[in-house]
Amino acid sequence: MNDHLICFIICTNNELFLQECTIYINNLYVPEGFAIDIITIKEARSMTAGYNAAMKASDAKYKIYMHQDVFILNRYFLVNLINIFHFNENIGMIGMVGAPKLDKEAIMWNVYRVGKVISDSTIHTTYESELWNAEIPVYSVHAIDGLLMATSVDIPWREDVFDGWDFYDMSQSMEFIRRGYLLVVPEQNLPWCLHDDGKVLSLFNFNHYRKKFINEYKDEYLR
Amino acid sequence: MPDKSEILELYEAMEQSKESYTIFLNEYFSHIDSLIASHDLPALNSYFNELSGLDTKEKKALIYSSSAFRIRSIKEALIKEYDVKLTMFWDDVSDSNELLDKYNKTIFMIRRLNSALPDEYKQEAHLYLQTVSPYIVNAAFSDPTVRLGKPDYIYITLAMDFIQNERYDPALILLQFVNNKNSELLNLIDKLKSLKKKNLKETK
Repeated sequence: MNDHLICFIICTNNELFLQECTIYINNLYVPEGFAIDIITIKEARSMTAGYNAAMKASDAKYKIYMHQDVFILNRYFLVNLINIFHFNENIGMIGMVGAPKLDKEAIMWNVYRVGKVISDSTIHTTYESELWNAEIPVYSVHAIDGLLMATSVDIPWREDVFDGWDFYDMSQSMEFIRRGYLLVVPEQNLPWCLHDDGKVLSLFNFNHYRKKFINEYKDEYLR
Repeated sequence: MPDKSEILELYEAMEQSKESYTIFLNEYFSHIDSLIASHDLPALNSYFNELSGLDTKEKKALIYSSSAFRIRSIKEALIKEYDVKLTMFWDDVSDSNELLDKYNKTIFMIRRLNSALPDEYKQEAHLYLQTVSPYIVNAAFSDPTVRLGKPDYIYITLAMDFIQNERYDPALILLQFVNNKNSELLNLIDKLKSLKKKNLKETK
């Protein structure tokens, strides 16, 4: 395992989005002594299958699983991630948005969430990159939104259960919690990322995987 | 936050209607593809009018597709381009994927002008945005599925690029989109309007 390598992992089906996404990645400050790598997965069978393949292919200690339509604006993003991981060795995963507590319906965006992404209210603000320090709170959460999930340890994605494009994020959050890791979302003055998801989502399979999630983690996700 | 039971009902309905929604969306994009390939704007407009009058459950599928929203926004811009005889945004594309890619590229380029990216990327954005009409830029800002900031700054920046290249008509259109016009900007708009009148007379 290379402790000084950070690997971005992106499942992609659109070259244009991927190129734009990587322009923002290459604009980030890289922490001293670290290097970055980008692995892209095309034509993945599912998000979990794509992420598992990339996870096995990289020996980077730090991996950032993200969507192709996420543009990282905070140039200190990588420095911040490393500092947060070093701040508490039990932190296994960092996200930009997350839910401190789930309810029985297991719909992440229908419960209270912490963190943020660029929204209609923040899009007009002049952007200033923010350097995280130990005085800035990080919030412990039960689930991290899959738009971006940064990890410090490799845990297999559940491709045996989540073989589509929904609930892979909540499942992976639960897998980390099962193994005793902390999941956190940092306080962000201005959102560190912009998610160009078109604001509307085709969720035709959402309910199917929601039921699978409830079934798989029924004894854990409400704790 | 929306009521939980309503949300659950929505997701259950989506799951149950998945097949019919998918068929509807496939037919929609297939028809849109043929209209884009033939560059038939009146037919595209008629199709959207037809859809507005449609009263079926399957039509709901359109509100779950950001691509469908974006094509509607592009259509509005195309109508304006056609009215004022500008080069049409869809002239060099032949299906909805290409059209959406071109529109998404436009959004990315606008966003770059507000970003902290290196100059080479901003320069590329300045050059690219000279190749699309002001109406497309305006459509992106008006599009409910697009996150873009500081419209006035973008309109003015792009207008200045056009003025530098002595392309006063698109510059005038862009400046007219500015929401908060100060006296300096109003004077510039007046000057560009006079210039346009003068050019029209000379052409006649």
